[in-house]
Amino acid sequence: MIEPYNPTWPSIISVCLFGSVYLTYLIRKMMRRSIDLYDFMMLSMVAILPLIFVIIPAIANLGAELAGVRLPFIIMFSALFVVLFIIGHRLTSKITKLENNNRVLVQELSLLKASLEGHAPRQGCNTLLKSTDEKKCL
Amino acid sequence: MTAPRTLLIIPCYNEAESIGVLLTEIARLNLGYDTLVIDDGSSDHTADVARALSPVVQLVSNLGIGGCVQTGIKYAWNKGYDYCIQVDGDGQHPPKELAKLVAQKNTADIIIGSRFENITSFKSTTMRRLGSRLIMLTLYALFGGKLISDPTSGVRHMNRRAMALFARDYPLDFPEPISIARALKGGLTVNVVAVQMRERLSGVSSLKGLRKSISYMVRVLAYIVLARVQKPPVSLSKNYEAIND
Repeated sequence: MIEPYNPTWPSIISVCLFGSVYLTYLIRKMMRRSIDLYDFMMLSMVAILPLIFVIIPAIANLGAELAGVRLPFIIMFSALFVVLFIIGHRLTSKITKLENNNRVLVQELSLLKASLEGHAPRQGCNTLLKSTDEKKCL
Repeated sequence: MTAPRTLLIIPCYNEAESIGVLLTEIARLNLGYDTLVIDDGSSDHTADVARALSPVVQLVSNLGIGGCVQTGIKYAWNKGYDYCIQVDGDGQHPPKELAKLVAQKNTADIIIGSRFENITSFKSTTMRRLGSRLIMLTLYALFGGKLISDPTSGVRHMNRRAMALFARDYPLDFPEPISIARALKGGLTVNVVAVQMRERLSGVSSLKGLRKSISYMVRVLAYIVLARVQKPPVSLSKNYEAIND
């Protein structure tokens, strides 16, 4: 028979302390618009999940029973892993998109700059050859 | 009927020593093509040297060879050029050889200048030849068609069908072999023409050393397989419409 998980007072206090400090930090970042609401929700799971486990241990025990694992904390770390995976996946997609946008912007800006400075060849004009057509282009 | 217009796209990164020689050679040959040097944010005087001899687009930030070449292709597409030819700025590709590519322009959408078809001058390293052979066989096994003997060659002739595809979708890393895979996936045709190449006038290859070469091969082959299984990003007809708009 597996003994149900019962958190001790020191573990409840330390998790609560970590949760409150971490959530305060995240809220401050969100207020400063460093992160958006979705990021806040995902990142706050890192504090909320352990808080649920220590404050309502029945949920931890139920989860462990349903999943058939001996230690309820395996469920918590699995859930945290999933959260981190979602965050990582979202960030990777975002970076790829930003990278593509950045490339297009750099290219368009450079072409526009060259066009404004008159460095790029105009249509039908070979700027290297001294042909009669060149005069028309000038 | 007006003669077809061709743009020579010359991507450069810190090629101050070679770009002047190359542009002078092109001008002397009187090939009748427009030139456009794309300076990929060089830290030396490449842009200044080139500007004296050719129009230059100076990228505001370094994008790598893929982004650099794509800028030239975008320019050629937008300005209505019928053809464009990519030539490396390090002087490896003698401009007089370009006529061989142009002569075959109606045989395929992309004509690649191959140094391995008929080697009589500059001989590439064994490692490079082996790598090219492996990429060639992979491309052939996955896409069929013609054996592309020099898939890493940086000298290539493109028509507007190829420009339409590449202006929208061009690989950033290792662009030469991967762009062939994407072109074949997009329904373009590729032909190969033997050209003479020479040693670069300045600079060194970025693929020196066994570790870098192996890393290059693994990544390129993975990207080629990916190109085979991926859907083409935008269909060719859509590409034409989208870019024309």
